[in-house]
Amino acid sequence: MIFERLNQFRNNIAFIEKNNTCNYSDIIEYGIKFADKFYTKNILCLIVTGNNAATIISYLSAVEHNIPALLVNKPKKNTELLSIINNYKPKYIFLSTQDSFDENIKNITSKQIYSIFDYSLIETIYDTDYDIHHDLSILLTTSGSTGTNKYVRLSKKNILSNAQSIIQYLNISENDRVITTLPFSYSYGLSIINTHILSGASIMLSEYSIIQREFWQLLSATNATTFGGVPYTYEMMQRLKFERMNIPNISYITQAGGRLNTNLTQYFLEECSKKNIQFFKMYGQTEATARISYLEPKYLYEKTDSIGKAIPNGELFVVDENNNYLSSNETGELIYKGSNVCMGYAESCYDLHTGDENNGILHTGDIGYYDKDGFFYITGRKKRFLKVFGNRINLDELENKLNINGCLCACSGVDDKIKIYVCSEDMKNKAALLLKDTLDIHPSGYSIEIIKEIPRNSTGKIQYSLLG
Amino acid sequence: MTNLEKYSSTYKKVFELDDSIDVTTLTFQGIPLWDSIGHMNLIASLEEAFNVQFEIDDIIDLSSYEKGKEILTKLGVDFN
Repeated sequence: MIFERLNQFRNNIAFIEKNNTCNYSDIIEYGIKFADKFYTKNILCLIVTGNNAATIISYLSAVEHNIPALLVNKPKKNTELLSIINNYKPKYIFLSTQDSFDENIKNITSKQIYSIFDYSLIETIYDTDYDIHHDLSILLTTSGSTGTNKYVRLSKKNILSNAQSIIQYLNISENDRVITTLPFSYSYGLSIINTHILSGASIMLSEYSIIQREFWQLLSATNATTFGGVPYTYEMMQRLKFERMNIPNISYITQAGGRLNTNLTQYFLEECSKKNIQFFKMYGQTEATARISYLEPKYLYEKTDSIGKAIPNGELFVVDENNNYLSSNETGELIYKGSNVCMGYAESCYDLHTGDENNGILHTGDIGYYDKDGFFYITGRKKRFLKVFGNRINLDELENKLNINGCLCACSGVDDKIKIYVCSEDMKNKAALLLKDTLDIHPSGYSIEIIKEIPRNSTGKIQYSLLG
Repeated sequence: MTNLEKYSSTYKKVFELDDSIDVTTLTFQGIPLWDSIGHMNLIASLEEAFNVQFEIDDIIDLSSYEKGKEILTKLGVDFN
């Protein structure tokens, strides 16, 4: 189904990685070889991803051949990987050959199936004592960080329909050349891969950060036409004096993964218009595969803070607490309807038998309204979560995790700055240690503060409004 | 404090390092905290400590402790 489409682009370059190129015919050839190694297709395969052809081809092959796959970015420590493995008991793991030699991984390996480039497919010792729903295609982490076992269950229909909507509004064609800036196991990064692959475009694979010279050298050497970024990427680009950059081949750039503040939006609106670059502000969630809405560049000036309108084939509306539809300028929860809404969540392999629990309707947890012209705005959140450098952090989950590990605290804060309140120096040290281990986030994204007492109401609930 | 001491202590502060670490060998992505977010923190701290403004080339070239010294020297900071 996907490979049939890719076959139209046989001779196009799909990937440029270091000095190697890979055509669409190579994706099909290696993809079929990968799937042939599975004794049955209905077993879970864990793919430890990197922005490289080997793992992207294995992912595409899994989707094409209905092999359910859990995607996780290569964690800093193999112990993090083990926690996911213990929880999901994948029968097969696709990982770098170097990692397959790790003692911990060797302990759960029953045999090596095959190697491609510098990656290996291994079979694990686990019994598959769990069922997998036939619609399940991909499992993606909700937070973008590896410190959680909660994954979003996506079907092939979810992936294809969201990609199709995005291709339509961004007008992606085989002439596009995108350079990667995000890990591809992150829903936004994955949507960039999906949309360009299904369009026959070329993808420059890199793990360079935009603050490295190599990134900009690669961008200009390969005549990249587009890239995407989370708010922090845009902050860094402003620091790098985007206004003085000479990037004539870039025709459009996209932003998602959290709210871009008004000042930055205005800066990029002005500088992009001078450079004749289209700037797309977008909104979405992993639960919607990736995208929910986008703002057409021509409305940026007039509707700067808007998240725009629903993507093609999707619908957005606002409801009150009793699920009644609200009219323009009335504030309530944003609800999204579309065939890209995920099947549900999983917290272990024993949740994989479940079918679609959402029926195409997503309660986003974001609070907002739409104006008289039908443009949507987000004003708050129903659930307590923050976006930290593009990753979603659930404050209640974090607080629980710390409490369970003997650190009494209250978590609060704003985007890109979590605040953890504790009551003693002792607890502060404990929190610092735990956070380093459990939170896969740069330490400048959080701070720990000692307060006299955690404010609670008469029923013992923490009064977050009285913090900070 | 000499400029060199000030320079080294900026790295220790930004990357939360104790005295057992030899800062002169530090490189971008060589330690977990020196990732792209840590890099922007380092840039801001160095600009503040030495009252300088880095250009884009300086920011993307500052890939090691030694390289940073060269860049600051070029901007008029005296390490001798």
